[in-house]
Amino acid sequence: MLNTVQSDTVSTTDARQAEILRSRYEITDGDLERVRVAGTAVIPQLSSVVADFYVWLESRPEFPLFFSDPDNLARVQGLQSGVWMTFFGADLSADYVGERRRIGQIHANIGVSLSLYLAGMEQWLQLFVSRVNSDAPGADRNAIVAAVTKMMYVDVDIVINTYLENTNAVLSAQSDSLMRMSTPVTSIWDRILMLPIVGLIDSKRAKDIMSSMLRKIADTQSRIVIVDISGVAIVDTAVANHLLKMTRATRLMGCECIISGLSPEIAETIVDLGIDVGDIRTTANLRDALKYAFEAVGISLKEMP
Amino acid sequence: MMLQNDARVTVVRTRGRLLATVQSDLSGAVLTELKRQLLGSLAEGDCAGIVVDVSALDLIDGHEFKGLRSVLSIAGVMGCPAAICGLSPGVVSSLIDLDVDIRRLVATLSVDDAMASLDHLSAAAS
Repeated sequence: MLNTVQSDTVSTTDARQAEILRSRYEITDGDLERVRVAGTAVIPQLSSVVADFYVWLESRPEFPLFFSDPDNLARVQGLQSGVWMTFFGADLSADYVGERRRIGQIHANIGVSLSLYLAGMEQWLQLFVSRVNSDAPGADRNAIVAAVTKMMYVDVDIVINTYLENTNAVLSAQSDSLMRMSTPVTSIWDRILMLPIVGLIDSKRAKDIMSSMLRKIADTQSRIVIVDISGVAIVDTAVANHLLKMTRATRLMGCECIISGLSPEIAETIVDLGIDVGDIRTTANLRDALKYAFEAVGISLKEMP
Repeated sequence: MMLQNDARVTVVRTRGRLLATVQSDLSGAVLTELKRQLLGSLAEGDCAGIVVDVSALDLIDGHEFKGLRSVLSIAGVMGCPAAICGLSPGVVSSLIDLDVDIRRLVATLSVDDAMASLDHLSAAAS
């Protein structure tokens, strides 16, 4: 049931997409008709066009990457013919858009670069134009080439958007995982806790970090907690405020908070933003923080003779 | 004497200091009782510090915390360093969200830590 609903919505958006593409590239019914006329000239010679295309493709350095297997090559060539049959059918419908989107997905999945795809489309266009050239009557030829070109742009448009959607999906998944990255509060010595923060800090994550940190302080009766922010991507006023809140909270728990890993860049940002770190202990690196922590809990480190 | 029953505050003298344990929510009556007992004992003299243990409390609101702070501040003005101990993680989270003033406040995890902090403070003062 759910599936039906979903595929329904997909085909409605595809139908709207088809409308949008039609008006974006100013494709008239006459254009579609002209594409079909071009088809009558091209489709009978389609196998030779595909062969010509693969002559070009084989000269590309990327070719062996995708077609190491001859069976696969034959299969793809067969699929390719089918794709161009629908292209010259010139039925700019929801199904057509869906099909093109799927093609874009396949190209993106197997790692065909956009540049190679665009170069390939340019090759196809040239090959088709050369076939139309020999057969079509002169007066109509320019109009037919223009119509085929428009239709090509529609294909390219859909595929490029699919590539972009893919890239965006990857990016948002990455930032998601960066946000969700767990924040392990570990006890590195008796009464000394260590909390490395990696990634981005937003208010929700700051809250999670703070509550797990406070719980751990109560559990381990720690005196010192070292918060290492060298892995924090961006420190702005909001992030600095979260850090200040954390230190205030640890103080209420009777535990001192050392913020370590303030790189020159982060320190400069903090000063530029005019954030008052007050009496919070901050260190440039973890080493200094550890040294201070050991002193604070009364441990002296001695090098072996 | 309803007040006496509700106001669950005990003050004991240990190692030359006063240890106040709060066992019920810091309502006005409890706070008054805490203030009366603590500052009364303090006025008698011979006290090197005050520790208020609130580990039994699950909830302290901003108003109650302010009251508690003022008791500690009064003790400070009377020349006696004071510390608060045993704030639970939940209480701390809510207090930080309320953005309470924690300047010059000595807070520790346990009574032992509080005693140690006060030792440290009086050593630094002398």
